[in-house]
Amino acid sequence: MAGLRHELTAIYYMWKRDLIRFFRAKSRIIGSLGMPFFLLAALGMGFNMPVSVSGNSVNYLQFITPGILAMVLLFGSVFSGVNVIVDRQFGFLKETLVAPVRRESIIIGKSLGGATTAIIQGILMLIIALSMGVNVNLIVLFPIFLLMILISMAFV
Amino acid sequence: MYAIETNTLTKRYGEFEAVDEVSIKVNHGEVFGLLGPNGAGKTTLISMLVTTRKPTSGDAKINGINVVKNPDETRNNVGIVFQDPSLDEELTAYENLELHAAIYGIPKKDWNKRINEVIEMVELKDRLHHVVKTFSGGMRRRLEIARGLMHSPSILFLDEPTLGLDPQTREHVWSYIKKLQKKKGITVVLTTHYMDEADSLCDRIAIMDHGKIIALDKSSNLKNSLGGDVIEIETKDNKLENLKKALKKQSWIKDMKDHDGKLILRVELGERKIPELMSIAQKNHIVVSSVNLHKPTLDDVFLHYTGKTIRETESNKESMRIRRRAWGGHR
Repeated sequence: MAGLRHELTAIYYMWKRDLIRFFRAKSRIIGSLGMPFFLLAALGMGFNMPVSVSGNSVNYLQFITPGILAMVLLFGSVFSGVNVIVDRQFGFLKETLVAPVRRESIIIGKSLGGATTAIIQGILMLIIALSMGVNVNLIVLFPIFLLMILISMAFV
Repeated sequence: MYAIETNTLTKRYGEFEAVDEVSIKVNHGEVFGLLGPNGAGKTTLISMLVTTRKPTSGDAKINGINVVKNPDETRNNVGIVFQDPSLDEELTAYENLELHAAIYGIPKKDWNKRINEVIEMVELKDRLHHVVKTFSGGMRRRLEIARGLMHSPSILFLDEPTLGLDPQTREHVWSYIKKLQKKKGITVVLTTHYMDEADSLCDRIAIMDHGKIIALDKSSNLKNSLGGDVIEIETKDNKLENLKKALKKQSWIKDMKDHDGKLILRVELGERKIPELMSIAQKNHIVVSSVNLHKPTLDDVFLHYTGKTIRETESNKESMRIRRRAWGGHR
């Protein structure tokens, strides 16, 4: 059974790699949370402002624009950041190709790692939403998590 | 049994033959060099030997194991340090080595011992738990060598091991490679376009161009095969052709080529022939603007076989490659 143990060990350490990388990049965690935060803030405030501004009534559309702009900027920077990282990762990919290990194990390890980090991000985002007073229906969470896992595996 | 044996190994991409019927034998414990400009096929040849590319035809054996039929067994027998960086920068040296051990199936109980052994050999023990992003280019290359040896392969492939490194770091990397051979008896195959590297490290050198091995021998034999010294002459007022004609009848000139605005001669005892060359030039009213005498170098060998020097074919590509590496993380 040495072969199976080898593959399982490989999967575990590939998974561990993704988690190490996730927790080490503090700025990336904050960046990925920034978008949903701004989204919530913009939409949340958007509904209130037109009412409370004294004197001039602000057009709702005009007010929400800065928030969306911020979101677009964040989105863009995150994507370009991801591209640079992905390119560098191709070097690492060669190391995994030359090893006497099944390609499937590498892919499984990476998928599980990506799914785990996606779920962690999702949980953090929900905590933020809760702290902003959003009511979260717990039953809705389940399909959301499943969706997150599927999406992250598709990317891998 | 040879460490590496190939038999008319060929790799074809459509009409293009990247590797053209290469048959070589590498001995155990040898430092074997593949010298040639980029595009010669060195990296493709190595890729086939480490199973990342399938040959179009021909076969190869590593320690007697058929590379195509038994890829996993082959991979256990070889270590490779790629041309492009392949470490995970956000992991520490320890984590990189640990991950390598995991995917190579090294028994877990041996991990700590192996990691300490390889990290001590490349003298990076104090950086073991530092993130690779903080490493200089030379350190990263040393770590890659350490990683390549984690699973104790008997053969190590190094693809352009000192590309983009400063002279001091190059010397260090060379001394590690020599240590590997002397202390561990590891067979080392390295590709390079640096002649000094091939000259000082390799027991035998295979000169490669356009997918073919055009010469294979010890460095000293290759240079001696040209038979004699090399004299380069430049003339004023474009009189090179005239000089060529005047020298054509001289029997002591073994070979004459013009190249890059110079006349390149091969003669025995060059230092004694220079005065005669000057007097011939004078008799024919040719003014010599410069004379250079040197013992043949590997570049001269390459020029002799291919009509061009390695330096020329490399000068543009080198700057491009260095830029690409810098972007990829090497400093």
